[in-house]
Amino acid sequence: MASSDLPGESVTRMLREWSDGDLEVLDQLLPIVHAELHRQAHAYIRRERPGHTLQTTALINEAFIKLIDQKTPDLESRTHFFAIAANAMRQVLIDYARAKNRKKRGGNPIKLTLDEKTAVDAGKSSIDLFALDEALQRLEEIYPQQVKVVELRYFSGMTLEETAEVMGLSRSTVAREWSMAKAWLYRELTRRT
Amino acid sequence: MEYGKGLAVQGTDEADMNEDQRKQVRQIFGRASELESADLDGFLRSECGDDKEVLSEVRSLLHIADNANSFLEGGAICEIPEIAEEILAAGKLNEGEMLGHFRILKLIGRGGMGEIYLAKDTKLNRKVAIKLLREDLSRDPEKTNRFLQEMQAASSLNHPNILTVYESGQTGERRFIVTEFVDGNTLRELVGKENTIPEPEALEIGIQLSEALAAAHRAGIVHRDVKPENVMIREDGYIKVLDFGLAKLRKGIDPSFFSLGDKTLPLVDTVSGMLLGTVAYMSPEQAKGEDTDERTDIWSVGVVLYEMLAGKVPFEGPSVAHRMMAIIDREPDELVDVNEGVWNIVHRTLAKDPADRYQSVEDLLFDLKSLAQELEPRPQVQRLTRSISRMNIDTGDELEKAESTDGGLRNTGRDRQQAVSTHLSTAQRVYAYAQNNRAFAGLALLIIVPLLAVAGYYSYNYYVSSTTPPPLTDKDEILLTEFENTTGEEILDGTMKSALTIALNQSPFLKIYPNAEIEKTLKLMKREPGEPITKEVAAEICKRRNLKAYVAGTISRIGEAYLVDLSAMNGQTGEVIAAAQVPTTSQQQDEILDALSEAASDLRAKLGESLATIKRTDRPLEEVTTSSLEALRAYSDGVEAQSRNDAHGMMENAERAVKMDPGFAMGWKLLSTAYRRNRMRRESIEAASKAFELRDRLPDRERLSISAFHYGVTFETEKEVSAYEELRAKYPRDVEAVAGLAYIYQWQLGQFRKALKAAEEAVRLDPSVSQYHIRVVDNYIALGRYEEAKRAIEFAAENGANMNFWVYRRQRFDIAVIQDDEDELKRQNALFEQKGPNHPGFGELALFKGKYDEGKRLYDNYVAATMKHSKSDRGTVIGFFDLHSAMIRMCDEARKHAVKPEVEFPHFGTMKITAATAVVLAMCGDAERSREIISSIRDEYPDTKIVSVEVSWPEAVLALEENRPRDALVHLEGMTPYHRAFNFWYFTLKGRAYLALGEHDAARREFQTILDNQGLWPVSPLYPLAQLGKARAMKSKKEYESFFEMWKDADEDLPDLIAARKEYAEL
Repeated sequence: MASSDLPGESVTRMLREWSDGDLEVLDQLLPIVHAELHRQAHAYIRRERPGHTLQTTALINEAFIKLIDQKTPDLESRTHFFAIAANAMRQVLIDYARAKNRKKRGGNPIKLTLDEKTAVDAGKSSIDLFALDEALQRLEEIYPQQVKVVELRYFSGMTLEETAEVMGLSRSTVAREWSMAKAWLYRELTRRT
Repeated sequence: MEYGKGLAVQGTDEADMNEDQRKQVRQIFGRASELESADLDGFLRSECGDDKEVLSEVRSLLHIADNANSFLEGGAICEIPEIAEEILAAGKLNEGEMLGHFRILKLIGRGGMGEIYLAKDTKLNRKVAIKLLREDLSRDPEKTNRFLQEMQAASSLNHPNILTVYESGQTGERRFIVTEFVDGNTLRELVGKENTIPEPEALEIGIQLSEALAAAHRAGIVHRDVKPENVMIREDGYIKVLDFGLAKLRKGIDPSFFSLGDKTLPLVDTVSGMLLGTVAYMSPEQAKGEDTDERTDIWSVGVVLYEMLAGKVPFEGPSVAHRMMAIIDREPDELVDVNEGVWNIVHRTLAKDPADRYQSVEDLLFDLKSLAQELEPRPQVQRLTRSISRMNIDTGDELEKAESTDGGLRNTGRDRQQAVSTHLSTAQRVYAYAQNNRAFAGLALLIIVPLLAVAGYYSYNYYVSSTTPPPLTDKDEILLTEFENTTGEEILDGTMKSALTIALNQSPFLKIYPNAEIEKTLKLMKREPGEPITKEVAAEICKRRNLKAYVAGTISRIGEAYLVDLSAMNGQTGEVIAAAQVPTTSQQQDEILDALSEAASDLRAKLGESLATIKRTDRPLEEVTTSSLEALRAYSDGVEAQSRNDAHGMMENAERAVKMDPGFAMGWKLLSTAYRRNRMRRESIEAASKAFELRDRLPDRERLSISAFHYGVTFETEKEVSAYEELRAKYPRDVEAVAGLAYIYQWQLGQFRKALKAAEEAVRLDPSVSQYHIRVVDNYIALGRYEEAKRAIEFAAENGANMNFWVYRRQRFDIAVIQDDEDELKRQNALFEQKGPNHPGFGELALFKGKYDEGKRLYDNYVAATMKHSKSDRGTVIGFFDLHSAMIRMCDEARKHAVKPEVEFPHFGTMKITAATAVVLAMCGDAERSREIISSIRDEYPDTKIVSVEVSWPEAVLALEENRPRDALVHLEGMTPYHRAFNFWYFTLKGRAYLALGEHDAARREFQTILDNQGLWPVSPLYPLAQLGKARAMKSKKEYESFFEMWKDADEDLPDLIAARKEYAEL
């Protein structure tokens, strides 16, 4: 509940400082975003059946509205917020995946194999988020921009258009990056079976 | 799409590539992914040149990309649904933790809305249940405020069979409510999964459940979510019903999101996290998303009764959709093993059409009790009661002992015991049964409390000073006097009073004494209407009307600045009870409005309004209105012109107001109204949308009022209703919302119960307006409550309504026809002869009896008499005659009249009349012109639900006339759920369509609905024709005879009569 004591104003200020180059502010900021997302996730899961990516965006939007000083909703702080939130979302979800994995130790976490055509169908397969996170860390080293795209698209459930807006790229660029990132990650996840 | 074997490892390990190569891979991949596969090879070779590594990597990625299209498209959150459970564990209260004066004992339940704890009230030393709301729900002031009214009603229900809500509070950001702690089981644990309950016990539960619902219905609350989960059986045999008012509340969560026309409830289910299993208890009207009323609860009681007796719910299916279909369409399997009387009751509660069910819980209760009496041999009771009391010995603990020594509480308990003593013993048996049955042995205590009750209550009850009582309460009304202007600046005359009115109107707490009431009082005082309300006049009005206070304002010059002074005076003694003075800082006139709004807020606080509501609703006047005094002045003049019914002056002034300040939303609204009065439809729509665009800067009251207005103009009726409902919730003392709602519910949506409630509220708020009384009477008649209708007419008369006004005379006439009240009809006839016919009742009555020639003569008389006084609605008047004639297939006149209808006039009634013209033409064999008119409506009006409902009517008629009954049914479906606004038409057409399809039983039901609800349209020829329809459906001589009796004096040449005689002869 700590985050609720923080007025939206200070979050806005921190975002500004961060965008002005003060990278340390991020350390203060992330836990707040993180906590807020937890709370949002709570509400979200309680009332929605999982499966709709768009709803994750709604969730972040809600977090944004709650955290940011509504009197100064300038575009810049908004896009920054989304970038941070997407990263935080990844952390939250990976943390859970990790916890889940630990619990399941001894069992076999499902991984993708190329023999299972249907496994590519995201609706039917289960993705090992922990492995995905590791793959993302490797991707970060070679194509960092694609990691951002994945965070926004997959972890935050944004559309191509929204992702493009947040990243300041064209829609077609985002589409290309997304397509390649998926291929790259897919190969990465399957080759380890 | 074949995956190459070993494909994944074909690619180069990118760790071996250098940065340049990677860049290349990315670029080439990007461009290549947009190419067709045929061109790909050439492209890749030319791009990659000799670099085999790059080539192979791009190929590998492209290949995978082709096949991994849906990979990661599902969203990460899909992968870990467990996230919810884990997060839920956080934020839990621990044993021993204090919540105010409540000590948490343990967590006993968890629902979609939060957790439920068993706790101890350390002050009163009793066990309570505490429901802690989810944080995000607690923090949303919009939501909590909306719940407020509903929840207050729920918690005010005081009945032994209804769970008592003690109080509500807040901890940190989370709201909680404290309720009675019930030690027992829910009915859910006793029934279902093949477990049945013996008849006498089931009846007993049904009786207590109905008692609770009857009490709620009396208080105007419909439960809407009756199910075994919401029924608890306490150890001593009491039934406790939970979750009152919740379903209704859920419906109101976000009106902008769920419009009325949507299938509301299923949607709401997912939002509030309700189990979808609850679909089983929905009534057909709920399943269809239609309007619901008390009879919905009666249905659900039926389902619960059925489940107790059969061990399963009556309507089952593999999916939610199947279950809903079963509810709407399928007859339940008959319960062959139960007593016939019991089955009859259950069967009747489960009638698909609410009109075929018990009409009130009291009726149901009566039957249940009579039957219980019949089946229940008294002596058994004693024995069972003893066995219960033996069982109870072990369950007592420290807390309960403490409670039983508390005199006050014990007395309450005893009162309650007496209240239910008649059926207590049977109920104890139910509990004993529960205890002995293996199926629910070993159950933990289970408490469910009404979620969310009275959330947010505290924000309202905080006064500025808690020691002295506030001068006013939210029951008082205040009178505004003229604003005194000592500056000599002409512009401030009139402007200041409007501005003050608007400023004080922002308060949900204060209610300004309505102008109409002032005028009435002035008349009593033998003063001129429109006389300025000086302080002296105000003091006299207050004394006569027993008003608590009047407010006087003064604007004066002090040196270089202005001073705004507001004083509130005690209405009886004249002494000052509150005052506020605010100076401007310069001689700028612009600052005056600022100063006035500041003074107004100050005064509001001093008069006793809570700081919370002031803070929420207080906005600078110039935001609410305009910063231009000139514009405000023009606006005030426009409003004044409106009150004089001067449409032209209204328009001129409103135009001036928005010209001076184009950002003046209220000015645009006034202008739109003015255009409408002047029949300038397009201009009116334009002005309304200007106002609407500006709404966001307005405070709640004006924003909602303007939104509703705009949606009215654009025919987005459902949004209009939502805006008004929100306004009503936020400003319960403002008559605008309920007046608007009463009209819409009645005329556009055909929801008469809601209309009645709104109209009664309007009358309560402002009894001097005749229109509101008329609405009350109309809706009583529509609902078949004629005695109450008559009383409401008398009440209108007591409040000064002119009983010679044609509407009242017509209403009396209609009731007289229905009740066959010859004296009243004679009286009406005498009035006609004395003063001339001012309504077409007698003409319509003749048509009703099948006497066309006489009807036409009387109608002509009426038209002639009416046209002498006004020429305004000749079309309307004749249109009604045509419509009634067409019903009995006398078309000569109708065809002559049905000229191109007036479509320019934006008033809703006119769209109806236009549609009616299309109906007349369709019934009279002119399908082509009927179609033309239908498409002209489509062209002219926006594509909204309400317009399509309206158009479905002539479409359905056309389809039937052209012998396309199935199409007709589709069009009729399009009229729902607002079909009752078309009185008998919907049922008539549906009945005829079923007849055409040979579905006789369904047809009979439709016609029967008409025959059971004459109040919907008391003298419509469709009423006798429904009798004919019923006769046809049943092929019954007796029914034909009833029809002939209705038309015994009818003209011999009526086509329907001739046909009916032929059919009768053939039977």
